[in-house]
Amino acid sequence: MTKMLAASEGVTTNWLDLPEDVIITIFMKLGPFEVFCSAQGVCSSWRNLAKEPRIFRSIVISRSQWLRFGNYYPNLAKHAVDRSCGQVAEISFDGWDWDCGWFLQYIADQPNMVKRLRMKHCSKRSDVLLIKYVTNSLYWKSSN
Amino acid sequence: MKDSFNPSIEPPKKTVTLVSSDGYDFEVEEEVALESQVIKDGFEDKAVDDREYLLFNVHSDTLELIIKYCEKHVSSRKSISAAAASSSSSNGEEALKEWDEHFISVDTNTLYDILMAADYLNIKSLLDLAIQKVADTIHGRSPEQIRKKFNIENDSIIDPWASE
Repeated sequence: MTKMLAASEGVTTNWLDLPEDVIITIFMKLGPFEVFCSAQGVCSSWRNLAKEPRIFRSIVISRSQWLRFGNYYPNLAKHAVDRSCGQVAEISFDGWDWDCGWFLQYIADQPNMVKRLRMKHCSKRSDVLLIKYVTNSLYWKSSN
Repeated sequence: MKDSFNPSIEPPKKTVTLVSSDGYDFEVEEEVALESQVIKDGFEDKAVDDREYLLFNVHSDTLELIIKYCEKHVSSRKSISAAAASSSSSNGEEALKEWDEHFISVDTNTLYDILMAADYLNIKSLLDLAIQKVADTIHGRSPEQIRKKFNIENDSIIDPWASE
C-alpha cells in the first residue's frame, strides 16, 4: 500500500515522475530498436531505465524497421541480446538480408531462454541450415 | 430470502463514495468502484456504511474521466455477456474498442493524469490503454521530438550510441 501514501503535492505534469514500472512497460511496447534509437536518448533517467533486461525479452524486427535502420541492424540486434542478460525469449525477423550466421551462433552460445525463433523471408541458404542447427541447440538449452 | 429471487423488484444499487484530492465527493455504484484493484483489495475489510475512499492522488477532473471509463466498461461487459447468453450477434467488443480509442485521444497532460490515476488505483485495462497510447505517441519520433511533446528537459548531452 505504499502507493496510497505517496501523495503528490504538485499539480504540474512531469513525465519523469511516472513510476519506473510504467516507463519500463512503455519501453517494452516500443521494442528494443525504438528504445535504442529514440527513447533512451531523451534524458538520463530514461537512459538508465532502458537498461532493464525485461525490455529485451522479445526481439522483433519487422520489414519496415529493416528499411529504417539499415546497416545498423546486426549490431543493434546483438546489443539487444546483451542487454537482455539472458532473458531473451523470443526472436523474430522479417526480411532478412544480412549474413546473420554469426548472430545466430552468438545467441546460441549465450545463456538464454529462447523459446521462439521466427524467420520470415530468409533468403540465404546457409543461414537457413544454420537456423536449424541453432534452433535445436536453443531448444536443448531451454529445456535444461 | 425468497424476495431476492423476485425479478420484478430491483434491489437498491449499493454505492460507495470516492473523494478526489481537491475534496469533491463522487458517489458511484459499488461494481464501478471495484474496477479498481486497490479499492477491491480493501473492500471486504471496510464496514458497509463506511465505504468512502479518499483518493489523495486523483484530482476531480481526472476522477470524473476515470469513473466514466469504469462505468462504460461495467455496462459494456454486461451487454456483451447478455448478448453471448442469448447467442444473438453483437459487435459489443468492437464498439468498446472504438470507444476506448476515442476516450484516450486526449492531450498529453490529460494522458499523464489518466496514466498516474490508473496506476495508483490499479485499473489494469485502463493502464494498458494509456501505456499503449504513450508508446504510439513516442513511435517514430526522435529524442528531440519526444522531449518537446512531453515537455521533458534534456539533462545531459547524451550519445545514444555510446557504449555502457
